[in-house]
Amino acid sequence: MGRAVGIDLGTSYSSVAAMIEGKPVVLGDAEGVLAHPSIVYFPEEGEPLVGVRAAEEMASDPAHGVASAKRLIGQKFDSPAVRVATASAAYAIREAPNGFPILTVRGRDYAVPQISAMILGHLKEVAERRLGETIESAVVTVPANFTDPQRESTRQAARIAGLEVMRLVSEPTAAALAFGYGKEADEYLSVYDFGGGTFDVTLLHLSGRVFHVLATGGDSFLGGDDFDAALASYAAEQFRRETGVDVRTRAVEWQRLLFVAEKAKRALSTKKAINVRLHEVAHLPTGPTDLRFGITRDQFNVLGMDLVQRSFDICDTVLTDARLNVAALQGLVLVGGCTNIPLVRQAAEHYFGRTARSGISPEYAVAVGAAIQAAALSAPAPKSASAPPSSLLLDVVPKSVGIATAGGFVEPIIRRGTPIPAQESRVYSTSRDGQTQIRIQIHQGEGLRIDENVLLGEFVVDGLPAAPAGWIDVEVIFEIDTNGLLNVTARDLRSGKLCSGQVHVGAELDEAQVAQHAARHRELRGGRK
Amino acid sequence: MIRALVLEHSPVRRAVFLGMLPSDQFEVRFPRSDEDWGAAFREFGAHVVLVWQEEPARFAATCARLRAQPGADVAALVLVTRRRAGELRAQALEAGADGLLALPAGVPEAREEIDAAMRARLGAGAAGGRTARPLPQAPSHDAGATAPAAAELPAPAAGGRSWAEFRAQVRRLYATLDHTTHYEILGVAATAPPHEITRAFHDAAIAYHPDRFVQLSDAQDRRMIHEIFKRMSKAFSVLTDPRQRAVYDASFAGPPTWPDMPTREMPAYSPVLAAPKGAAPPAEAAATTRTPQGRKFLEMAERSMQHGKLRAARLQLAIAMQWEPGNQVMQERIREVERRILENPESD
Repeated sequence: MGRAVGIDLGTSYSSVAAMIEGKPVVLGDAEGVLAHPSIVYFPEEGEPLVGVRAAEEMASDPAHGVASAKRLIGQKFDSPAVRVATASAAYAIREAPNGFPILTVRGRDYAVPQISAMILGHLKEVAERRLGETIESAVVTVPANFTDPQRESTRQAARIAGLEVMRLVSEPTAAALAFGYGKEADEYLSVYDFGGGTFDVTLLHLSGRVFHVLATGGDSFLGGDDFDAALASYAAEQFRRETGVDVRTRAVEWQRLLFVAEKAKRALSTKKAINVRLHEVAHLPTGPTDLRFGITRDQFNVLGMDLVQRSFDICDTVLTDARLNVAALQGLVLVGGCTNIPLVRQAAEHYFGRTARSGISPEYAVAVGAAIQAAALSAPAPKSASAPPSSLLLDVVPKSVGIATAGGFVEPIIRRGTPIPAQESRVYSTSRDGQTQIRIQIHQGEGLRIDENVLLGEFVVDGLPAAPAGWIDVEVIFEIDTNGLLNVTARDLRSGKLCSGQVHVGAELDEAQVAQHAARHRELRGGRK
Repeated sequence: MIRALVLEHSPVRRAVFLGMLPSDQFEVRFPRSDEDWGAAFREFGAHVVLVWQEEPARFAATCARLRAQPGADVAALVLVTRRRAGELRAQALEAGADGLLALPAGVPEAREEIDAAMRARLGAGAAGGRTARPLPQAPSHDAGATAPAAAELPAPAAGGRSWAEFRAQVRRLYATLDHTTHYEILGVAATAPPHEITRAFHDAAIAYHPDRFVQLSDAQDRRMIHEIFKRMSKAFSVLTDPRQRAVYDASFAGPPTWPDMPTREMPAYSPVLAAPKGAAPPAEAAATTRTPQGRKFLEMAERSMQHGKLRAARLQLAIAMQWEPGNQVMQERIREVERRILENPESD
């Protein structure tokens, strides 16, 4: 089989890496760009633009581009993520019949996986041009706390782009792989991954070539974008006081302000203070008015402190899950663009009580780790049991999986942090005379109540023999395989025979749609060559 | 390192033994069935056998039963009792034991009594013209002591094993997966501390993690490896969680027996009473059962075997064995099922 690449599909930036002659290399495009903005811009004519060119267009015409699609992928229309996007995005969002959002840009409808597929397709092209061969499979990274629908939608996006996902790996885990690869250390490591849209933290035990994940957690509503928003809000508030115009209520101006705020944030990592000017934000009776504001690093730190504090709440939970305290950790690895912010770096070092390890670039570590895992998975099967692999990743269940019980509660079956592959079983009995079917609702999440969790699907055990209530015992087996996929099977305990049953997972797209979009994607690419 | 075998099924009493026999001085095993005992004497090479016996009247019977095991005569036999040991010592020695240990006892008392018993056995062996097992001197026996456990279990990355050997090992492990304990699947002792379990799990992962076999063409091998590693992963998560490990330790001894209740033989279950109306006359095998549940599951297993549903039969037999650990017929059946599964791994 051909070479497999590792893809870091980020909220704001994406990158792709591959193993070349045993060494992981981040692949750049013709201009040498390694971090591609996760932005898709739809020009008036011609095909959509992705990456740097899309970002440039987006700066002047924010209404016809989609950024941060990762925040929406696998989310239902009525979820908080989509509500936030609906309020701030310049494009129209409406609900599809299956409950997922549909974006409308320049009169065309797109499902979120289609947008992500364009980004993945762009990365695939970059890799193919650089490596000079066709790439058909990849390891793609996702935030640690992505739910199954989000993971499934990411897989669908890759399929549309013509990539088979060999494995979805958690971003911080991938970063740890990049960090510990070839070192053969024996230590406990924390990976603090503060990216553009999500925050994740993972604790690992590195033991020789084994990368053993102990616990992982994250917040998908915490990232660099929130720093931008805080900074933009601060500027908008000042502007409102001066002129009475609230930029936050105007989608296009707000997008422009966010764009400037991101630049200001980056500048503040190296400068002590910065002045920003945004042309012609409002048209007042006195004529077009510019928005100007100055901010020092200290002021910025005050704005961001809350956000940093939220990340430590998650670190507390993860440490508890791993039954470790901070003193037991021997290393701290910082990953993600936000860890370049002095405030974030210092606070993290203070929390973990040690200076961060250097040696890997925080922006590309995730892609590099994905490439290492891709190489491990495409390595030929060992010819003798004694040949050790160059790296071996022992992952855990990122989110608890449970079943709905009477009264609207969820009973966890496989708890988060369980090493995968994992298997648990429960025995259920029929509760009515002549009952031939048992329905089991499967939920994912840490909440005690159904409405705090995500519904994965419904498992129906069918074809049970009619009998008095309580006579039929069915053992339902929940299995999470090494791909992190949930399989459910059922067995009639009396006969020992497998019952027919299946999980109806509410996927964002159905098989036919994926195939149709994939065909269209191929067509577009074919036309370009 | 002294290798000790303990005849005890109650988890509470097992804990007492583990407290008296610290893991730096003793390697302790709790054989369950007669077969286990035979294997233990053959391969483990026990120095001493300990039995908790509160009924002086049964001393002789217990000693005779244990001594009847081939290989048992070289090991010292120590009876453990809560009664006034001084008065019972003579009785115990007459019954064939080499020592009597009174409870409550700490590590020094236990060690002293066991040493004395081993010396006594050495003397008795010389007098009877037999060679008793030499007493362990220094910890130089350590390597030998742990060897039997390692030999039958995966010794993953060690040595240059060929692919064929590895495949055979996978098949063996897969066939016996249902009644391999969490300790056995990871190849660790029941007293192993968490860091040893972690190390064993990492070694197991290097050898059996399904990620290493993604490109393996044989789907059946892949599935077996996946199932095996799933069990290893489960074993790891149970044994490294103190709460889950305690629950597991207490459960895998079979149905618990109440510590100080005199164990009474259940009367043979009368099939006439239990036969449901219109049911076929009970099979011969079912008549050997002593409990209604054991009988029910044995009958189910026999039906499954007749229909060629081997995996179902194995599951049902395992359940039946939970109720009647010593039942010969069940053991025979389970061996037969295992053999048939091994011959035909793809069967139902």
